[in-house]
Amino acid sequence: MKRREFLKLSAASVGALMVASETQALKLPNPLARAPKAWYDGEVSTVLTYCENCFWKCGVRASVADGRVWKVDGYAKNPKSRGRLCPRGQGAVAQTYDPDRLKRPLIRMEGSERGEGKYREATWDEALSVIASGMLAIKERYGSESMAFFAHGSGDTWFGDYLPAAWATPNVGKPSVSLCTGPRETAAQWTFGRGIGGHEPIDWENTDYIVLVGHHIGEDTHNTQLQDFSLALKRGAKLVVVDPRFSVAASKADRWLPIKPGTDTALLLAWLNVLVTEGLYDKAYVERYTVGIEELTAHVQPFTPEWAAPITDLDPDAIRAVARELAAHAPRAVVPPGRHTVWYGNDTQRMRALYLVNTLLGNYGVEGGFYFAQPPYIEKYPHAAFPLEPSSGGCSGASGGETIDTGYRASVDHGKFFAKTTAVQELIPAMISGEPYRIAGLIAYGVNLFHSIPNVARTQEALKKLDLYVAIDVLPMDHVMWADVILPEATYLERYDDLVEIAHKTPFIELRQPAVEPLWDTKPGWWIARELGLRLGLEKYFDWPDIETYLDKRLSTIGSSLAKAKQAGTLVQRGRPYLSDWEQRNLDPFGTPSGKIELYSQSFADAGFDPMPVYEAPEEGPAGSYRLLYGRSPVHTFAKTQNNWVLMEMHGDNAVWIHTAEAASLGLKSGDYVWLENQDGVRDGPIAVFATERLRRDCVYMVHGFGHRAADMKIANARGASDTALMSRYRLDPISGGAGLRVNFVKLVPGAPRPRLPRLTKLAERSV
Amino acid sequence: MEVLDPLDPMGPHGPIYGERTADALSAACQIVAALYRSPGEGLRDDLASGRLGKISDALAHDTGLDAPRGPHAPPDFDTLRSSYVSLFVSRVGGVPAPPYVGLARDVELMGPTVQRLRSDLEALGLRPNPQWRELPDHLAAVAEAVELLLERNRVGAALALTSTYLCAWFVRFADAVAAADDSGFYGEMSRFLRSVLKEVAPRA
Repeated sequence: MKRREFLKLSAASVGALMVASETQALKLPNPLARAPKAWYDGEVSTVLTYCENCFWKCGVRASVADGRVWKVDGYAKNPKSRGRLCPRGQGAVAQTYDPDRLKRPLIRMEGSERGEGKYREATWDEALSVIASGMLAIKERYGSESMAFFAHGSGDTWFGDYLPAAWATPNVGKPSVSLCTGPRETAAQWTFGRGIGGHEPIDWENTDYIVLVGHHIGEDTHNTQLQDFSLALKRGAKLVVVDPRFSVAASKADRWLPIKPGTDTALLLAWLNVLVTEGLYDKAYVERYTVGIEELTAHVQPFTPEWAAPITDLDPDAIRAVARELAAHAPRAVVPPGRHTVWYGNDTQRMRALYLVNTLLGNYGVEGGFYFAQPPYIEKYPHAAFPLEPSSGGCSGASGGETIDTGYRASVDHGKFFAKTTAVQELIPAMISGEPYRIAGLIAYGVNLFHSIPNVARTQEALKKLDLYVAIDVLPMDHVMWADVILPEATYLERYDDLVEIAHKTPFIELRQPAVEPLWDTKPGWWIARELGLRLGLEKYFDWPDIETYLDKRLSTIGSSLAKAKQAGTLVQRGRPYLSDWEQRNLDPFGTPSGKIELYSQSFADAGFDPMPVYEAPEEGPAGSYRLLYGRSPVHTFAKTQNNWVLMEMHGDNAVWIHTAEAASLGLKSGDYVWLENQDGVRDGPIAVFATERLRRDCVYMVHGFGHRAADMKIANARGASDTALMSRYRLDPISGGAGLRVNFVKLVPGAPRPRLPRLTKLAERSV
Repeated sequence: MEVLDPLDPMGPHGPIYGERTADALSAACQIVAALYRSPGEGLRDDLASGRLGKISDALAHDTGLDAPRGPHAPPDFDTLRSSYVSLFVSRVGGVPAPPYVGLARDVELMGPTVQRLRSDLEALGLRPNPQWRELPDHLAAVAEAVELLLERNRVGAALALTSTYLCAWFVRFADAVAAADDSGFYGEMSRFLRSVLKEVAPRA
């Protein structure tokens, strides 16, 4: 052979390396003989940004050396983290350096089916042009409203708000609304005239008595919420936990009320009854700030603890005692609203009942109860007016838009819900049926369609019917590899995003900035949205040349700048947390029609709903089945982190919790493997049994997010079972659009094989 | 086959191995650089012209191995591109053989091995091209580095890079490629190259 020929051949492919200098070493020392230099031995820079590994958005300090992020810590001056960080935050670096990341745009091979997973690489220009061409064809044929956008995460600014509004579609859904906080926010809006917001405004530092209703603090870990909760208990605050399961929080409680699932509203009504009939409520507060106490007094008369006891399966004396203790500690007593509130379908009314208990304690806007979380002041970027206003809402609730004639068709679920919300799961049927009009295209940004939206089979059927399906993500999750075009986003450590405005006791703005350059040919969401917008003829909405210009312009409206924000990371403002702060300024904090807290909602009555909460008995399951309850792992975020070996080493699979006696009756013990089969015959597993007395006998429990089913999934695959897969049913809340998910029942089917899976430590060694 | 002392591959008096080894290594690295980068017109041309087949055959002859059939009867180019994505770029749950030499030794991307590689390349007067939208320890990049060194008659350094970095990847991942490769092409070539590199850099 002649080497010169090979070099000629090679000439076409050379491009990876450059000759730097001719003063080359004479020989290459044996690299393996050298001890590697520790990353922190050299120059280390610190970049302030905020975390993306859950929605709490903790301020972090990223330590960078040699162009790589090595460590992420909490940022002491950030109110979300106060210098501490949870395992998910600390493990997030592994995602940036995950070899399984999406690396460059991919286009589905012509002739292959969605879900087949056959792709070719493409340039950004080609990929974006294919998408733009598809979107414009849909607009031409069906109208712009026939494109839907599903979005989740910090970047949803671009794909859940900005681009859809510029494009003009109301069909924008975020799971954080109808599959999470929708009922909580709707109830708050129609009770207090204010939402709760992404940072629950509980005045932990001043409260003396806490009642958690189905609220798994410590398992659904939100950094400073957990810090504050722990400090409150350390300070001596009393804790009551209402939960069918002896949760981590219950293990810290002074009293655990193992309530029958689905009967929480009955318990709350009984507490209202005690507070009213025993004259324990804060009469001065109620007189001054509320409307409807007479109606409420009459309404709750029948709902005595003795009435609630057989419904809830709780001791009436315990019910009464908690109501009295709440009153004794008021107003420094609080029943926090929790976050995931889509349980049984009547959830807005349950949340109303919870808020009414708090109101009777006189704690709303008062130290030790709820403070008023004000958003920080900052102006939007002065782009041309969008044809439609963003309407999808977010963690802080639905926007409740569509009240004016926009000239565009309403969303396909319009009219279903009193709150005029858009429910992500309700946009899917129109992809199949074409009613009331066809959804022909979908851009899914950061939403795991198969692990967050119930009825997976329906979602897959819908995807097959679309003219265009685009996925924008960081990892090749199951649903991503169904898309026609896949766009790889840079991770949060590699990108800017829009400013985050946190409503808080001290409102603040967080900046996300890149700690390192994006790996491979990945791009930040803002760049993708803008480039797509330009190809769609939406130039006037994207008149900013780059994100730095955009951010600097916005920050200039508060007398700051991007340069200053990069140094500070977090910009804290003054708030108005208590009623007294508002009254000093003659301001009314309550945005209800009456201008007061509405114990009785005339708006609900006018719309044909109960103006005050009423208990509805939950549907019972088939004989021999158990209600399926679910919760969180403190080291995982939804179904997003199960391919992160750092986190999987801490919590590598889920188990199905079942009461010991029930397990024994089925001939099962801890460590056995079973299939879970729901009321519709949907089966998932195998999953290990955890027989325990920490759970009632009428339900089972599992942690959400496990049970990925992908043949080549190396870390996440086949570890545990998926609760979402077993949720073939949900019950809609007609007020908020929330999808009640705790209406599914499962049987445990013995005889499942123990999965033969490689040890996680072995996978970690391979890192693939 | 010459014996290489990895602690002093150049020896005190210059190369201790012959022209044949350098030729074989150069050929192998040409193939690695061509095959493990994103398949484009260059690879299509190399296959259509039979050039890749010729080089593979010659390499097989020189190393006493069976010549791979793939370069003479490759799958259609679309299949090749799809297989490449599925094996090396993205697939549900992750690819079976990420084409990064650091992964053969470390638990994550951009780990200590990449630091060492960068340091080694810098010592040899090489640095990654800023236009290269890949990681510095991509197989194709390392193969190019080896080839550049050979071109400059720095055979010892080329062999050390090969044994330290390239071989480790093929030892670890060649079978994984073969197991997951529907097209058969990349699997066969990965195993062939593993055997070649074992012959050329036996201390790996």
